[in-house]
Amino acid sequence: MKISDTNLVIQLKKKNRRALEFILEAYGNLVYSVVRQVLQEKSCDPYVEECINDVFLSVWNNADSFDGTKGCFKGWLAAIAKYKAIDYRRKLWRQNFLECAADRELYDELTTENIVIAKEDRQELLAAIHEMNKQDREIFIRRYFLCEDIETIAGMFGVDRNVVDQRLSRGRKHLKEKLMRKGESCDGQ
Amino acid sequence: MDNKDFCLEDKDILKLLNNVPFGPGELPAEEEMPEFLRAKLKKIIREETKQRSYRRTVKRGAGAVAVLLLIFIGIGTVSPASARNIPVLHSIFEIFQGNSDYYKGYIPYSQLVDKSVTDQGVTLTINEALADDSTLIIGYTVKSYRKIDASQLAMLMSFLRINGGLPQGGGSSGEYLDDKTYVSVSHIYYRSPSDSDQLQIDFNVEQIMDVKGHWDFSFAVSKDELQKRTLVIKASNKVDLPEGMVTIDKVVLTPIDSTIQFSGNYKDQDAATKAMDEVVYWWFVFDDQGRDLMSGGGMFGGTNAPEGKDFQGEAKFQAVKEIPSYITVVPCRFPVVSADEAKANNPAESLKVIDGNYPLELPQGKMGKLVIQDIETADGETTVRFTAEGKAPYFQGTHLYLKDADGEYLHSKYGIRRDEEHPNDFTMVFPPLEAGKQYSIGTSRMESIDFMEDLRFKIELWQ
Repeated sequence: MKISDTNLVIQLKKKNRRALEFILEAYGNLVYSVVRQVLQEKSCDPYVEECINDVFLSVWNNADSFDGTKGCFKGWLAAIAKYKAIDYRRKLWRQNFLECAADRELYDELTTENIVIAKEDRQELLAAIHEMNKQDREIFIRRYFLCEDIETIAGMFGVDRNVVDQRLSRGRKHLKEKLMRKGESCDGQ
Repeated sequence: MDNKDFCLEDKDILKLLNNVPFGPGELPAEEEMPEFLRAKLKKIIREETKQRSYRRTVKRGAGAVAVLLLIFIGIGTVSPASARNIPVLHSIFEIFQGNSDYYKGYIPYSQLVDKSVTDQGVTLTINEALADDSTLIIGYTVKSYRKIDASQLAMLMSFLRINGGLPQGGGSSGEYLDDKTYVSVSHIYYRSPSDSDQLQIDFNVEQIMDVKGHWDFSFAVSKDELQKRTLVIKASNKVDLPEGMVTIDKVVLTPIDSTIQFSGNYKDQDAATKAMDEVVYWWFVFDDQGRDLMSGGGMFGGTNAPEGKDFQGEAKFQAVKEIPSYITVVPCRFPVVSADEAKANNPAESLKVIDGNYPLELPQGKMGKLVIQDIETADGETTVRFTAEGKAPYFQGTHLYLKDADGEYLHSKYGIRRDEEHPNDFTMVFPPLEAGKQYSIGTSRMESIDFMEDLRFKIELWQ
């Protein structure tokens, strides 16, 4: 069967290896460019290959996570590439310079609300993120999963950075409230 | 942050990423993937997908650097304090004098570099540098046309090459002089086969914060002065640690820091390499009076390991004024992320409202406790005086913090200061607490630290 953009997702979900090979051929340059954009220093070179490999295998293993109603495959793939590259950058810095100040800043933002999440809370956390309104959710994911800075997010949404700060604060409070409520109901049982 | 902090699995994150519609404007101009890489990936995909299950394909080879012990310099980044004028200085390290005594020892050996490059409205100045056989210290200043976010400067040192080689690790601390001026000291650990007294530094910076440009520096730093004052003590301790058999090769004492150099063989290299993603290893070092000495970082890995050994490494700690007859090392490990704390039912922190009644005890779990003796606000700052009791008082003391009524952290103006006469007594200085507002003082309960006292070992320094 010939793989094309039309049947790509279906075949990928059916674990047709040719679908993944098609992604490499059709979108390999995109993934490479996004990863290089994040891991651009020479010191990151040895990790680029490993990271790209990780992107493709992650897509292969989690094809069911793609939701075609929310956007196109290309955009999803680019977001994964960015997320993975940021994760590698973080690991690289953890190895070479343990404390990555940008990480600490993000960590501080969450610990400000005492959002420390246990594995058992995974489903509640996901549910709480999904309960956020569309824009708050996107801002939250861009900030905490894609490490985008507040100015960039503000520019993207055409708002002042204070608005983004407020949305993030609202998101954190929402999470805290939801996770605490769950904790209380468990305690009460 | 990473997905470990959120405790989410890969599939969860990938689901969440559906909510971030990447438009064409966000995608970079496409670069051609090198053909060799495409061919290699194709091969990997073919092999991996045969099994239809995920497993990591790229493993670290025996020769790859597997950094297993790596600690950030214990001073930390000083948070933005009120803007102040740049004082007349003989050395950039004088700026940090208020921070701690740590930098005092640098001044006599500091070499003036004083080179500035301006590009895209951002000026990077390399003020001073000094080096010994394993550490390069650089004092630099960033001046920008807009507000500086110091958190974005952490990557700067990745552009540095020492005798053509990459640094092995390090850390930075710094201080804002105003919103647009930031001074920093970076400690960079390196290994170089060169016997020369000079280190050749090439620092070709391609990006400062999010500003791309070119800030190119090339200069030499002499190791001569510090080498003359370096004492190398050979050791031969053999230590049986969970991850491997370790031989302590030597202890190197210089006026700027101290280093334990070691080498060894893994018991199970795969397990040890995997563990490094989850665990940070820390060696607590105590002098012959039982005082814990400030850790200055360290690492170990397989690159350049001596013949017959799987790895070599070093653990750094503060410079000593007088050579102790021996030092004692207590290995310790703790998770990279603190999610484990949340899993436990005990609260992760000890937090008490500041109500003017002292002493105030803040338990730190198995590690001990902090006892707040006094909190005083005067001359535009609040000083907390406290005692640390327990297994590693200095380390415990660094975990003190203040919070306002909203739970926001108040960052210490300077690092922790130890009373040399009474080594368990410390002071920390914060921005002034406002009268009428409620504040709390707290510390970590340190539940996740595995302080492996049964593995303690002694290194004789008087031989």
